[in-house]
Amino acid sequence: MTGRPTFGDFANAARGLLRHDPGTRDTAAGHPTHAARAGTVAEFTRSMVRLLAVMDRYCADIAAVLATPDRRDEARLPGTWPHASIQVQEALHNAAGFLPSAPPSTIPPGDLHDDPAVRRLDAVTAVLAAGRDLLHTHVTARPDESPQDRSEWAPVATSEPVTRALLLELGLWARRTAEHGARIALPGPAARHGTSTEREQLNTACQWLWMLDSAVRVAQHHQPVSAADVSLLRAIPVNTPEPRRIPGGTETIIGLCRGATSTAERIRHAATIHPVDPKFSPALTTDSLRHTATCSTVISHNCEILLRILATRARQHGSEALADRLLGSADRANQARLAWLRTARAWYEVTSDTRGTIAPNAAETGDLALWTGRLAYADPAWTPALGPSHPTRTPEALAPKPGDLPTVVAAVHQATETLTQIASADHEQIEAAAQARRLLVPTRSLPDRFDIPHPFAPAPYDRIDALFNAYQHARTASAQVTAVVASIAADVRAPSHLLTLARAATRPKSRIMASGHQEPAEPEHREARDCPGPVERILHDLGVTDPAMLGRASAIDRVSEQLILDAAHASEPGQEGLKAFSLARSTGSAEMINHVLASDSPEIVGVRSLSPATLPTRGQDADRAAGSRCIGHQTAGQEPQAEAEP
Amino acid sequence: MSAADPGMATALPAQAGELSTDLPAPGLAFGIVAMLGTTAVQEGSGMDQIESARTRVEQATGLPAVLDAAYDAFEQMLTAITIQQDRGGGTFAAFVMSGTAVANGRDALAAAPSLPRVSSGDLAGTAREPCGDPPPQAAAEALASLSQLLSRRLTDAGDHSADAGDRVACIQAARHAAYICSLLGGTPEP
Repeated sequence: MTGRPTFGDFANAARGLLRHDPGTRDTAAGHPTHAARAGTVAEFTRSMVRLLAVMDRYCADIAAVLATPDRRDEARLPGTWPHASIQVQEALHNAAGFLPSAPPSTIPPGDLHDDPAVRRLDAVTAVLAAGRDLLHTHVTARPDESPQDRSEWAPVATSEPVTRALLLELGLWARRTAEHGARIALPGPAARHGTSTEREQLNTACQWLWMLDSAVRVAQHHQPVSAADVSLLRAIPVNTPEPRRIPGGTETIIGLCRGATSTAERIRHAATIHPVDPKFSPALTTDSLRHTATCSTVISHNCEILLRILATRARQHGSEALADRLLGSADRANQARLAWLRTARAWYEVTSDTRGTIAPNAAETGDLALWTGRLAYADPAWTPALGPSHPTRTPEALAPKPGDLPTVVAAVHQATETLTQIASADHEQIEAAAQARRLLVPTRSLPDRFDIPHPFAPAPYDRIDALFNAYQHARTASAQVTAVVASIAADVRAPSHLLTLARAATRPKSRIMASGHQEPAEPEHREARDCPGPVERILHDLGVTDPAMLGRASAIDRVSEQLILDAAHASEPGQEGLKAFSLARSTGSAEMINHVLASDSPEIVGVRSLSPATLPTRGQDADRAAGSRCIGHQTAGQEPQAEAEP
Repeated sequence: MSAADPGMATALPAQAGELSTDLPAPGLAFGIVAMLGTTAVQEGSGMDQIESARTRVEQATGLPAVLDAAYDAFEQMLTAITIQQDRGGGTFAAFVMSGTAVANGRDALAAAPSLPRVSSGDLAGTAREPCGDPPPQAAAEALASLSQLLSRRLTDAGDHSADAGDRVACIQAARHAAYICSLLGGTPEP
């Protein structure tokens, strides 16, 4: 939500690299049309092995969330995501198992490969590895190897909905990789150097990648991942908070909103990774807790002002309903202000055994008060201190155009969300501090009959209760205003609506599944249909450009594909089916099978006779095993049929 | 308000329970004001307490007396600030921030070894009784002036204190007082 790189940046880069010309006759697709150096099949395979290794790590991460031992029963049910995650792991292991382990690259580190296809695949590998690293910045391992959250995004990154979205993304990467790999693998007039074994291994690996994608699509068909969850996955930022910023007085409205957002994120981040031990830590000081409660009061006040100004602005733009909702949210913010004021006052009566310093995180609540105040008030140098006058901004100044309103709503949303978390966190802290008898009062504040020879005494229960109650109210009131503002943020498509999605993703499963009206994610599989089938590809090779002829070729390919599927279904169950016909003992049939596997049809997964060759059992030689099984088109022991040696 | 007025207020905590420091219900506060009679008294009473506290701080001699008077002054400021916080408006943020600074200043003094354990002033026990509602600007000016005085006197007291604990308490409390002064539109002394 700020300027940090997100997982979506890497996913987009990978998609872009993999989307490049899969169906055209460029060098990457194995049909060089110019003098660019096309590498060998083996070089491409080596690159693909590295990519599969990265995908395998993604798979392990995904399985750790979706296929946990306690979900063994669900994992047996086809169409479920746990089941898909297991199938995907198997498919990926099969794909990798058919490829030779990658020898060390002969390309010096930092240099790029001459072959554009290899270079592109290497880039995809690097991008995906970086994307996974980004996700892993949010979680670390404790000494006992259990995971430990390192940011407020950690529960999101490891949530089921987001993990499903990641699996959906993985399916797309696998599919695209298969499209590239299969083109490299298949011999043809302008194919690369490579032995039949190399081609066969690569093609089989690609078929397994298609199977991987099919497993994902089946799960998506039965339990669609919502578009919101995909958005959430892509919005996960790198876990490096922006540096602390103080308003300088020259910021625009956008700049102030960004400052408020980044400060709010910093506060929440610090609360996640730097919780002090309230029983012992000297970092838990009265000054910090008082300062936080006080600044939270001011922030609530500023939010109320902002929401009222926005309501006026919405009315000016003719959005009466929105104006009413903003006014309602301002009333809620006022309730939060009063609740926080009560909390701040409760602290007048209680102190703790450590005083005199303000922790950095508490100090930053003062920054947030400043950012929201600079937004709410006309004075660009506003501070909480009394000045000559403190007029608030005019509605026109706060949101000059209707499109500016969501930005300010987002800043308010960020602030209220932060207040909710502060109330919750500080409430827990003082409860623990009270149990440790760290809450005190000045002895002078007690009646004279208490003869205590110390300047401070344990706080009486009624004062502690007042403090607890105040925090409870502050938390409730802050959560209420956050909920209302979140709803507005979602409706006006404010950037902060991701906060709401993030909270929803980490709620119990039942709650997530209950939101069944969410739009399912629109996968990019449709684009894959643009890949020509074998007949259409031959016409391309022949240089045919007539749309009518290409259309007929495409139609023939589709009919052929359906025929194969029908035949495969007819051979089920329990038959060796198409395998028995040694279906793929020619390049042409291999291409046809590839095209069927690459189709959108969810039937593919159910047609076992179309499955690629499986890995040899332990101890068997992979090549021998491959040679003894039908792998969809060729066998390892088979002589090259159309070995092209350009 | 005369010196007898705080005495009237001192009777109230016993009604609410000895250890209870909850703010009295608004109705109770209004009831007190009603007993006092006029609006003029209502607006003037808070200011009078601040003025009384100011006089005590000015006239205090010796470290224990300065600490004693300063502690009670912080308590009085807290009462006056609480009343202003309830008004909301453009001065709200300043009075909210000031309230916390006052509490911090008071607690800093509470740690001073030379602070008498029991208040010796007439203001003792009146700290939580709201008694007046002066206009924000007038209240801010009076509070800023008192905090400026507190800052000066506590700095002096700290400078002349032999005990390290007293010195630290005075310096910290003076710093808080200076902050209150700046928050309320005053000019803290360097």
